[in-house]
Amino acid sequence: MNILEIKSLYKSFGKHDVLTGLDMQVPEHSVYGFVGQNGSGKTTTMKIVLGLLRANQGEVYVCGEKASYGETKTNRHIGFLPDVPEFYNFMRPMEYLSLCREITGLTNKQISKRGEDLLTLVGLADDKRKIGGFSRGMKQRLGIAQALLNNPRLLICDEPTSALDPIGRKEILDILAAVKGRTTVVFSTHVLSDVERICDQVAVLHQGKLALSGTLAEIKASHRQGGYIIEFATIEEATSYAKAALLHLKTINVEQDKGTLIVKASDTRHAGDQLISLFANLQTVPLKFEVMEPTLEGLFTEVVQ
Amino acid sequence: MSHYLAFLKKEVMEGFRTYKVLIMVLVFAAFGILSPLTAKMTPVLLDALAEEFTISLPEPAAIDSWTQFFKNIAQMGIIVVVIVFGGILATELSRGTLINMLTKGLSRVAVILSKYTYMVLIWTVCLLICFIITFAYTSYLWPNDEVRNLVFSVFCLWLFGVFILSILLFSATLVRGMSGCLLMTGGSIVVMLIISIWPAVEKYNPLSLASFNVQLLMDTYKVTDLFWSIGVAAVLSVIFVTTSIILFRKKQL
Amino acid sequence: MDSIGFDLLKLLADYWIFLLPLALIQLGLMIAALIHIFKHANYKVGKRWMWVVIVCLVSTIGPIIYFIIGRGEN
Repeated sequence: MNILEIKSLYKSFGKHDVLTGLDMQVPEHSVYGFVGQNGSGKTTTMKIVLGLLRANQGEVYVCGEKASYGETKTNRHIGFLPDVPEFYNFMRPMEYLSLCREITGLTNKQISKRGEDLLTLVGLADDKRKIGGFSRGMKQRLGIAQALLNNPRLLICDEPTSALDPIGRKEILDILAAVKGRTTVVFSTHVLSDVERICDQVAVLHQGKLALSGTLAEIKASHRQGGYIIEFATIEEATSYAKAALLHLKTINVEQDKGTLIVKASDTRHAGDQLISLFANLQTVPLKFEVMEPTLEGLFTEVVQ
Repeated sequence: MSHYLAFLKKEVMEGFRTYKVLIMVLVFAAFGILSPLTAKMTPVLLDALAEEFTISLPEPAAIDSWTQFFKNIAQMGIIVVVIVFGGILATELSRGTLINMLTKGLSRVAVILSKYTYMVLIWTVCLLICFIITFAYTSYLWPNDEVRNLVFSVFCLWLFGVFILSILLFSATLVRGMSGCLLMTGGSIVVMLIISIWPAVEKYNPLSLASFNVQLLMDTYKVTDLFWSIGVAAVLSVIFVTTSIILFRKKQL
Repeated sequence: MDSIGFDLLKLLADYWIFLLPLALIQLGLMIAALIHIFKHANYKVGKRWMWVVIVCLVSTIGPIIYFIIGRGEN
């Protein structure tokens, strides 16, 4: 079942078109990486889902219910972490969670336990300071706690890691990975390594549409270019191996960069067998022999250009 | 309703913890003391300044103290209130603290109503404190019995404040930013001042609620003459608050 | 000189009932502001010594200005 479904969404600010027919499906229990350049419309999309902005056209369904602009009922399924979360500086974390509880309508008993659990999860349980004294990373962690308060089926995070240092970033990613089991996570980012670290679904937003979407494995498989990277200790070895390979296999294309060869073939499986037996024939041992994997970065650049 | 109470609680907590309530209460208490003090000292000061002339000044009385009270609150008091509350929506919108609450399903009507309630509450408490202090001093120093319609006159001033706060709320939902909100509220007071030059509308002008207070005490202005102004101020307040709710519900954040 | 000293005493004797609470309000504001200044290291504007001077020297308005403009979060 799709927890979030967006159908041909259009949004423009004045003459500037941000979304031009966006379609998107987020399956339940996935961690969905929503990738795009700065200004590509990630935040706009999220705000429309939350009913904070009015779309020009298109529909949004959360857990099968239609979301509408304004006070949308579907927000009860959603926990939201804004890109730079701001909370009331004069409150303590637990007081803030209490206010959230009164607004979401949970009972007192449910919350005090759950509030403490969540603060423990994000590592703020022992902090008696007011929120005004928190660092960026601590606010971000409190943001996750408040977003998870009503046990949402969908957690939406807008660039949760971009403003953080490496340690803060790791903490946030660990927390997101930890909640993976209990809720579906959609998070936008332009940091691709974060996506590779915790996401199982990826979508790339470009020029108002999804330019790419699917599971990480699917995307990589569909963009896999048949080929191998072979690395030798010396340039001579590489050169002689390249000559032999070209002689044996007619349908390949070899590029050489010093001791490294990139071999591309139309029938990858067959070519791989041949290349490996060639090592025995020539009595050479390569330093490395690997299947060419497309990197997310490569794919991203390819899609965006 | 539960949203309204929860958010009102938050507003009050904010008021206390950001020292806004403390400052306002102390400032209004100071006004409460300064009014009778100024009334008592004015003849003494004038006497000292004009030593060579002997001006025969009438002895200060309760009415002088109340004159100072109404002048101070209608001018400085209202200005303090408007400045302190000028950012009531703007700061939350610019910092984004409200967005988080709204995505949790906080009703927008509750936001507007609780903010208005909070402002009216603080204004009422401050005015009351100031009134009690001036009343205590004035009755201690002078016979207070020649002063008429005192409670009604203070009520008029209170209602004027409530009306100004509704304009402030309306401005805050209409324009982004605190300065725009202050400018609009100030502008509306200027408009009322300009209108007040025209005697025909004096009867309906809400500003009359804050300008004939002393005449009311001396019975030179009739209580019934202010009924139209009261009605206009009350109806306009309701209209401004309702419009604020409608505007805020449609506002893109 | 004598007459000025006499006047001041007479003034205090006549008006203490006003001046005492006013002085208490000023003092209260000043102490509240000073406590806040020394409990916090960062201010929206200015430095600690600057605020201490303003709060101590400019009565009533000084502390109010501090709370409105200078008050930092931590």
